[in-house]
Amino acid sequence: MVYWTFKSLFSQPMALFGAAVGIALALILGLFLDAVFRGEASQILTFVERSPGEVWVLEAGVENLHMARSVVPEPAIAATGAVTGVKTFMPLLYRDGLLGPRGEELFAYVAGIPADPDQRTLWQQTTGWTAPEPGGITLPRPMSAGDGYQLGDTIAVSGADYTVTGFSDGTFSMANPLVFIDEADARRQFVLDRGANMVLVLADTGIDPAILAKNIEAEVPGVRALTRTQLMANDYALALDMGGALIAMMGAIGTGVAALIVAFTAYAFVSVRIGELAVAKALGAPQHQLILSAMVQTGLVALLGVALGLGAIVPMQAALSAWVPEVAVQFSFVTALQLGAATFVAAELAALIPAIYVQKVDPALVFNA
Amino acid sequence: MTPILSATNLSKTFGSGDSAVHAVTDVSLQVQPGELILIKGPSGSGKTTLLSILGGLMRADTGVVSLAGQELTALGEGALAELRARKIGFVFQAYNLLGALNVEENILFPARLIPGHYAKARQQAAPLIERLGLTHRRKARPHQLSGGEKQRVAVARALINDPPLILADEPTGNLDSERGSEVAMLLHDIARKDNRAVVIVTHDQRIEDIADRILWLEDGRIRDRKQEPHEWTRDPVCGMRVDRWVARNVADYEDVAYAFCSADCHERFVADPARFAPTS
Ligand SMILES: Nc1ncnc2c1ncn2[C@@H]1O[C@H](COP(=O)(O)OP(=O)(O)OP(=O)(O)O)[C@@H](O)[C@H]1O
Ligand SMILES: [Mg+2]
Repeated sequence: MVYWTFKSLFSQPMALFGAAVGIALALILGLFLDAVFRGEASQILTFVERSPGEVWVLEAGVENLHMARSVVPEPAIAATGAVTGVKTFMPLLYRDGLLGPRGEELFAYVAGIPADPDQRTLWQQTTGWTAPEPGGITLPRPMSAGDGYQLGDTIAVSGADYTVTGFSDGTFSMANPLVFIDEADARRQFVLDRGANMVLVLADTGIDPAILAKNIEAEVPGVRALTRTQLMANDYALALDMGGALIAMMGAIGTGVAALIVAFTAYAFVSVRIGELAVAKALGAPQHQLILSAMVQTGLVALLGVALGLGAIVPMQAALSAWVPEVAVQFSFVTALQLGAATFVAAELAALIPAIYVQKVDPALVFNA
Repeated sequence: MTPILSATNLSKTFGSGDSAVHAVTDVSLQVQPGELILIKGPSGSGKTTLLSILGGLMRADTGVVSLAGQELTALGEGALAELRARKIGFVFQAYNLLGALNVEENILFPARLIPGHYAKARQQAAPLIERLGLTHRRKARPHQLSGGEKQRVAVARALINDPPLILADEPTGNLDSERGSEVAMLLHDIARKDNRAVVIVTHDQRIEDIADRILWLEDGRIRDRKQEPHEWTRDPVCGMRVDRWVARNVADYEDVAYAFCSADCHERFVADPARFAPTS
């Protein structure tokens, strides 16, 4: 039986390969949706990750950047700067706005970069992005490829026109891209004369940001101080929660479709073998061996499919970022393993259906000419 | 003599109510070792259904089947499968060889189903393959074989576990006349020389000639028909086997009686008997 199981599996390499490719495609579909989802979420984090802030000071009660319409008042900014252990502090404007021409606006986050030359330099050096001059705007690079924006083009932010003077990497999400303008422009646009939406703090060498954050909260009334790690964790969780509602739905549908592909492929693979399984049964092969045979065959097909699917991730990631840079994709190894295992289980369950059908083999199947 | 296969009052109905089909109704039969019996009947008369029940592939609604003293009706699925592997050889119209396996592997497939039997079966396989004229095709895959070769492989597969009973459903149905005769002879030898019980469902006249008994099935019910005795000889012209008792073309030459398969062979013999008569 074992011998026959393997021989019949490899005697039709095209059927084997076809079924494996079907399973691989299903896995890739699932992985791709997860990757898009992750890619989206990570875009929001890039800003926090790169900005010169080991500690982020926000208005009390604010836990993430999504709610950053809150304001840290001028005295609190000054008080933060005076806390022992603070090396630099950078007030930043950060609000939501509408990006693009009327009728085609995109919901975007707009950050106002300090006009102070030292602060600008620090920000440019740590982020690697161009800090815009007054009247200028730095757009996410995928918008140059995707929407065709060039340096010198004009784009509106909530009705006011800006000239594109730079592009940034890693700040585009399909849901809400992040753009940078000059502080003075932002103050006018947001109608905020004094204070800031957040204060970015770098700690003195040897100072633990977590302890510094505690000290700031203790000494400055009315603020919430989060370490970069905390803020990133909060924002990521938030992105998974709400930003991805649409993507989560797509993911659910995609996973459903993938499960169907896997189930159908495995089912079809075993179904074409029903005739021979019936012959084996008529000749006296015991039930459990027949079921095992069907499951081993499907299992191997599924393994091959999973291997193909996982193997395709690396070239796919490269190809995607080259062809469709506006879609942020980020494949996860852990998800790949999880989905791979799920695919395998789905394939085995699907194979169980015809295998159980073998139990009730109709003798007509072997006697019919 | 005790019968190897005995069926008593078998009935099988498919469906129920108005659409019920009484495929087999109150069929009893006994088959002795060495006996070749034929089941004939119009299409839909229940032949395949009866054979399936005799072979433990289908359960009758009522009635009892015993094979070599064991009651099939009393066995569970597992025991029934084991009994099929050990006690019954099947030959099908569609050959039903396993496509991935070569001739030798197909023949040995049932041997793998009996624990500990494979090594012994391997040794028996060579003479069996030789006997069926398949030695040069040992490594061929089923799709490379002619219909006649496929059916000889199926017969060898049916014999590998040395079962006392062979069941065949239209074994010559897909074969041309010459290959059909070959397989018919083979089944005849299997009954006579090996002393096995052979039950064949067929419309093939050539098999009718070699059968000990013919059961006529009509609407699921059986009618017994006795068959004349027969004596096998070889047509000296073409080498085909013919039954002296039914051969219409016969001739005597130097006090030996010859029988021919056809008028054609007969004529050729008469024209030049010395050329065809075996020299003693
Ligand atoms: N699995 C089944 N379900 C329902 N009806 C069946 C089934 N198998 C056979 N029958 C019916 O039972 C009757 C006998 O069928 P069976 O196949 O035994 O006939 P048969 O004598 O072998 O015919 P043929 O010479 O055409 O092979 C037919 O009317 C057939 O339609
Ligand atoms: Mg039939």
